[in-house]
This record gives sequence, structure tokens and C-alpha cells, in this order.
Amino acid sequence: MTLDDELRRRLQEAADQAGSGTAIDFSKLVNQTGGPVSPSTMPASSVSRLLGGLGAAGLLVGGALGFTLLRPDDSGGSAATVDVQQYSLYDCPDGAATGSAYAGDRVFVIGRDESGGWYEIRDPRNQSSVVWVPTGAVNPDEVIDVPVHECAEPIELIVAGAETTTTVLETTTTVGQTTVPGTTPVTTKNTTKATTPATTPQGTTPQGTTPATSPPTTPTTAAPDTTKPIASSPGRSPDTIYDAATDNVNCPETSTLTVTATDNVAVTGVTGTYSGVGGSPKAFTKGAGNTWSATFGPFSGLAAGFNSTITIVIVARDAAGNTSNAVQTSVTVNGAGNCLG
Amino acid sequence: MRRRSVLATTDGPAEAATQRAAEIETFMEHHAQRIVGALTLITGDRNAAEDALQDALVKAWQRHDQPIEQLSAWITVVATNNVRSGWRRSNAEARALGKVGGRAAPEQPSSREPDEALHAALRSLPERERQVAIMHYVLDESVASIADALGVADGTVKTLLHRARHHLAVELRLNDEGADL
Repeated sequence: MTLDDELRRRLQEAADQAGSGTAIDFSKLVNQTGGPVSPSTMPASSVSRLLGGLGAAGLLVGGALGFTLLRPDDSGGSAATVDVQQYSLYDCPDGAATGSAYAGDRVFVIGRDESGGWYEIRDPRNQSSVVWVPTGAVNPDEVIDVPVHECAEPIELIVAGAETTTTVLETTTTVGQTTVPGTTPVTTKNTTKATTPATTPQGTTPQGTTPATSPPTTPTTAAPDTTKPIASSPGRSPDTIYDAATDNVNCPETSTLTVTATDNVAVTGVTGTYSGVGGSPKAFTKGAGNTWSATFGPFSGLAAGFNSTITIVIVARDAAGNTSNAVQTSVTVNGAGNCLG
Repeated sequence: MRRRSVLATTDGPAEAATQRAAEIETFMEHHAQRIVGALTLITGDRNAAEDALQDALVKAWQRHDQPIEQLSAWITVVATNNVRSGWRRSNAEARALGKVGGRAAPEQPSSREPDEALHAALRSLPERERQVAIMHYVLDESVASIADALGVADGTVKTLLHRARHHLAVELRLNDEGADL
């Protein structure tokens, strides 16, 4: 008998006790929401009906209780629950309020802004349109990994020579095409204001035709981005790892490094470099908010009993090529002989 | 206990949905009690465990067009994350789902006394360590499958397991042979 055996025995016994009397019946769950008798024997043509049945049942129950369950075609995003008494819906992050929703409403998150401070959601009162809410207003069902979206802000388009007549055109911009596989792209309407030249007699040109055939003019050129990203709060877990030859469940061979990186526009990459144990630059992966992480290790070739400390220097960069201050953290790598686990 | 659920991409969506439903049914038939127990040990709440598991089952089925390498580990992680993120169905919603096929049977009283020392030791563990320890010791998931399901490196899981094992041994006053100190 080992410690592992004893823990396994007691934990499994406790789990069996805790789970006794469980009567979750998956087939019953789907049957009574409009599906066929048995999912395992249903004809193929019934699958979409079953999915529709689940969705319809969710909407039905949700409608009665004031929330909306996950729609079948929204599998790429995440359902969330409104976490505050009342919150405003915005047309864009830090934009104008367009409506309200209330505690307990169920919403569907399909994207977020670059800062991580705003979620793009389906409008709970009109699922065919999208709105934005502060992330603190909703409580996602699961860890969210939704794509970064830009808000389709209204564009003020000025045509040279504009003076007298103003014609308002409506154009459509498709956003969010990469958000959810199998989902119809969300379409929002942007209002584009344009004016006809002063030389055109008012009323002689059919409304909309002249602006529609005139190429839009970009009014200004953006100043170059010279602001450097900021990297901070480097961390690692665990502090000490072991040579790859250790092969012991109690002695980890890799360490996950994390760093917070921000930029006035957007951080496009974070790289960690180190010297010593066969190091080469390694790219970090973006996580939630402004967090980036990378796993270092396993390392091999350390003699038994040998200890080494590697220092990883981390730098963030943006699309303009600006690089951040360098921050660093260290990990101790032990030879296999030091594993006492 | 570990099960594989790799769907051939050449299958049509209908076949994939049927296959996934059958896999979930088989999984539940054999492992429902233990996985609900495992989730209860992780969350400390039997009702939350069952609600979270039901939600995870539906999600697993809705994603029938996506391969899930380790179905049991995936369901456990999704269900656990449901609870970790603060998700909890309202009483009204739970009642509504109960009417359309949720849990039906009342909890069965156990003939054994609960292992209070073990429960206390589990409660003293950080949540992540508790989750990994339960997946490993109760559900017999390998380090690799836990790491895959959690989306972390094998080494991270090894570290969490090592810490959990040490904490449990200290709290339960067990030596390396599993005997009382």
C-alpha cells in the first residue's frame, strides 16, 4: 500500500458516496425537450430537429423566466448571466447607451474589445443585432476565449466641395465573420453621411446616385504610433522544475510564465529569451485580458544533482514595431537526481 | 475509465450527433454516479454538481461536430468550470429543467459514515489542486489527459498533483505508505 493507493481508495469511496442516487438521464433530458425517443437510435434526419427542439425549449423556458438559453448555432461563444441589477447596452465600447437589460438576463457573448474591458453580445431584446457591455456587468458560464472585435462605429464621410445638399445613405458593414463557425454573420448598419457638390442643382439628381458613384475620400492620415508597449508583473509557476529525464509525476518538468502587456493600440506579440540551458526565443500566447503566457521546458541533459537557474527576459511589441521595457523572471532547473517526490 | 471520443471528420453531422449522443449515454450509464460524486467533492455542492454536469452533457452533444479526445475529462472540466466561474442556475430554472428531464430520483442515504476528515482535507485544498487531484485519483485520468482537458502543460498538472498529494497527506496524517502517522 502506498500513499497514492490510500488516497485513491478513500477519494473514490467518498465520491461514490457523494454521487449515490444520481438519476441524470441524458436521453430523457433530450427526449422531453422535443427530440426523438432515443438519441442513439434516432434517424439521422432527426438530429437537426432535436437540436432545434432543445433550442426552442430553451427559448420557451427562458422567455417565461426572463432569460435566453444558448442557441444551437452559437456553439463558438459563451452564454453569460447579467450580474448586476441593471446595466446599459452600448453601441460601442465607451459609446452611446442604446438600451438596458436586467439582473438574471441571459446573454450570449460573441466577442470582446482589445482592452478586454468590454464584451460584444447579442442584444437580449433583439438577437439579430449586437451591442456592447462592460465585462463586469455579466458573469460568463465558462472561461471565455472569444475573438477581438472592433466596433463598427458610425463614419462621418465628407466629400470635397460639399456645401448645400446633404444626402444620407445607408451602407451595411459585415462584422464578426470569424466569430462562430456555422453562424450567420452579424450585420450592423452604419450611417454614412455624404454631400453632393454645390454645383449640382438641388432636386435634379436622384437622391443617393451621385454619392454612390463617387469614391469616398479619407479625410485625415493617422499619426505614426511611437508609444511603446508596457510589460509588467512577470510570474512563473512552478518556481522549480526538473530535467526531462526525471519522469516522476511529483517533479514537474515545465514552468508556465505569465506577463501583463498593454499598449495604446494593441500588443501584437510577446517574446521570452534566455541564456543557459539551450535557450532560444519563445513566443508567448495571449490569454484573458492583457495576460500573455508561455510554457518553458522540458529541458534535458542536466547531470543528476545539477542545479541551474535560467533567467527569461520578456519583451512585448506592437504592430508599429515599438518594443516594451524588458522584464525578467527566473526558474530553477534541477537535475533528475534532485527529484525526491 | 478513460474513454476516447474521436469522431471521423468524414462522417456527416447527423452521424456525428448520433455517435456523440450514444457515447454520452454509455458514459453516463457507467460513470454517472462517480462523476457526480467527483464533481460534488470538487464543488462541495451536490445540486450544483448535477446542474453543472447536465449543462456539460448538453454542450458535449451540441459540439458533436468537434472531436473530443477524452470525453470524461472534457465533461468533468466543463462541468467544473461551470461552477468555478460562479455559474449556478436559478432555482426557477432548475425546477424548469427538472420538469423537462432533469434529475428525478431523491438522494439515497448511504449506509457508510462520511469520511469527514477527508472532506475537511479537500476543503482545505486550493480549488485547482482539488480539481486535479479528484480527476487523477477518482476518475483515473492520466496527467496527459488532465493537462489536455485543462489546456495546460503536463508539468503544471504534475505540480498541482504533487502539492495536492502533499497537502492531503499532511491533513490526513498519512505517511508515504498511506498508513496513519
